[in-house]
Amino acid sequence: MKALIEKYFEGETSLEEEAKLRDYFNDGPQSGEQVAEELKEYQPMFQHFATERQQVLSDDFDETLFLKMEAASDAKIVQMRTWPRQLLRIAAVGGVLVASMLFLQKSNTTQAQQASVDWSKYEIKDEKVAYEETVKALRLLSSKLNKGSKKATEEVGKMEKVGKYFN
Amino acid sequence: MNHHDFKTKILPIKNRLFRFALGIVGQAAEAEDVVQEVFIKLWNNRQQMDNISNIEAWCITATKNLSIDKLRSKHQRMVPMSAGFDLHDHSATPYETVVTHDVFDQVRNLMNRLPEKQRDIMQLRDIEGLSYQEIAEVLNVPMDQVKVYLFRARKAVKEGMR
Repeated sequence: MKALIEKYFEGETSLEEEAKLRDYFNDGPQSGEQVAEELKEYQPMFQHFATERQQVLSDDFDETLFLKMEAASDAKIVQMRTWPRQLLRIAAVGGVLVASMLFLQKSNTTQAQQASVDWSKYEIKDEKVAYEETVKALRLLSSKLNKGSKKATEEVGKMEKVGKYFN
Repeated sequence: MNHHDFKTKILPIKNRLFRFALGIVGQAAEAEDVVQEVFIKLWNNRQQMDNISNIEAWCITATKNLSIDKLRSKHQRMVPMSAGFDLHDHSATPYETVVTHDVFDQVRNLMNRLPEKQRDIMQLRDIEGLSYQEIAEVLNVPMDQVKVYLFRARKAVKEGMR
């Protein structure tokens, strides 16, 4: 057995030989056979391996697992169904962005067109004509202002009449 | 992969994966969660799984990664596990029982302190009883390297026990 354990630590033992070592250190003491004093230091190691081998999952593991697997599959189906909805949302946001970009582009173009109008073409060069045009514009403004104040006076008069009924 | 494949090819390795996770997380409930998560992940990706040549290797890698993640996320220490071994035999005195527990914990802790490859190989050989060829395939390590890692791992545990 000592030779076998030396071989084990050299990494040269076969699976069968390793099983023999496990049996010796685990079954030996149970069957009343004593482990040699010089080999006792290795006993916990082989007992540990045997103990670990006995560890198994709980009995209800499979049942719980299958339930969770089913639930996970269902969740996946639901996810697939909601996928087109998500796609529509993304498309809608994309649409809004494209529309905004087109609008901005258009308004920029209009501004640019406006900026490019050459107003000097319409400028009056003759002083007399310019004077007449200014007088005409001021008269128009004055008549509009007079019309406005007349209208305002009328409205105030009406308000005063209405006000009498409330007093 | 269908239900039948899952039951015949994957489910039989559940306890191996459980012990693998247990060796890392140290608690049975946590290890069980890990195996469950690995299987659900595998099932959800079953269409892609048909392209994987070694599903067991995939499962072991996933179990290892998930166990390490779990351990990190909960800031847990690797706590020793002593369940499943009946120490209450007639020959053991309370003193002997305590000493045996301590020595078991020591073996587990020594294994957990090994470099990752060495620990994995020692686990698969000394606890799971896999051949060198199987270990090489599962861990994707050349067979001669498996022997070297195993030799180093056993030597380190032996020296640690002294």
